[in-house]
Amino acid sequence: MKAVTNERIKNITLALLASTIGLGLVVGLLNAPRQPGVAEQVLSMQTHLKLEQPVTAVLLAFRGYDTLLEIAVLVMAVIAVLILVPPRKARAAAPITAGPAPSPLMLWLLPRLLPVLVLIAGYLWWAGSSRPGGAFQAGTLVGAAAVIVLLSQQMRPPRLGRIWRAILVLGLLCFLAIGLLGLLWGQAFLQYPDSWAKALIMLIELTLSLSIGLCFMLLVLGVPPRRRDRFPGERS
Amino acid sequence: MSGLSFALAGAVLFALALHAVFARHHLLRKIIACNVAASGVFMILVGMSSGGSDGRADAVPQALVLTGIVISVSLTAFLLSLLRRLASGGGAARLPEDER
Repeated sequence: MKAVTNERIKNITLALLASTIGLGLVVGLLNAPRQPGVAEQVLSMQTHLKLEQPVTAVLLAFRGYDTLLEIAVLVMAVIAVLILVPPRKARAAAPITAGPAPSPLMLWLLPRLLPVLVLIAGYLWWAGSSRPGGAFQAGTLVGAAAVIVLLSQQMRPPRLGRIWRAILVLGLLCFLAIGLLGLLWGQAFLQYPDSWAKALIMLIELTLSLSIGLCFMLLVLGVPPRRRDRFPGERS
Repeated sequence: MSGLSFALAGAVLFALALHAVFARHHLLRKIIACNVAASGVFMILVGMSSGGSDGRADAVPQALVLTGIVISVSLTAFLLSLLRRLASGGGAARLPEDER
């Protein structure tokens, strides 16, 4: 009886605290001064880069540090997940590939869907310079395509040999190398020379797309389940 | 004005998720609550940004939110892997102090 009362007191206290914070946020937002953002500066500066899409310009040039650290975090998350995989299970079937056999519909759809996915990913990468799109959107599609292949059980998850590991860090290293290249030309870190800016940014975005796709696939695979977690009727 | 309503909804989402992070015992619920809280923050960021004079959205908050979404996805995947290891290590999917 006492435990129940304690639980209730705890719940009420938590609800009060959370609603106080929520109320404070709402009052703060209602009274926040609306200052003009930096949209004007971005639009006036981005012509140097010959990129028509301001979000891509901000991501890769004006806030390049953020994106560099972001891909570093993504790669670190993948490495952390890989560390969590018990060594003896490293080559075992991953959870999503251990489900029931794929349906005929899936097998029919797969060869027709994959080229479309790759095409759209390529388009999104290229569109990133002028329209909404870019490396992260393209990378997500690449990762989704890889996950679909794995779900259909037509391919086993790759053993992470040298080549796969190289692709995993390719985007990060390419970004870093091009960022350092600016120092050689007497400019700041992550500053691109005006005439080369668009080509370099597109190269970074291409390698980023590949790395991000592989990262997302590995994150979806995650840690293999316990044996008794597996699906009923599963082939081992 | 519609931007402000998004920001206010984001604040409410954040408060609800904050409550869930502490009040729920199952770790999967805590992870989901963290994600909802992050979405609330993104809504506040995008909703409170003011666009340029020509009506175009401010690119900086959008780029920051895009970065935040990717970080949030990586963190969620890592947390889920940790949860799976915890559960397969014989433990329950909850923290020791929440077990009764």
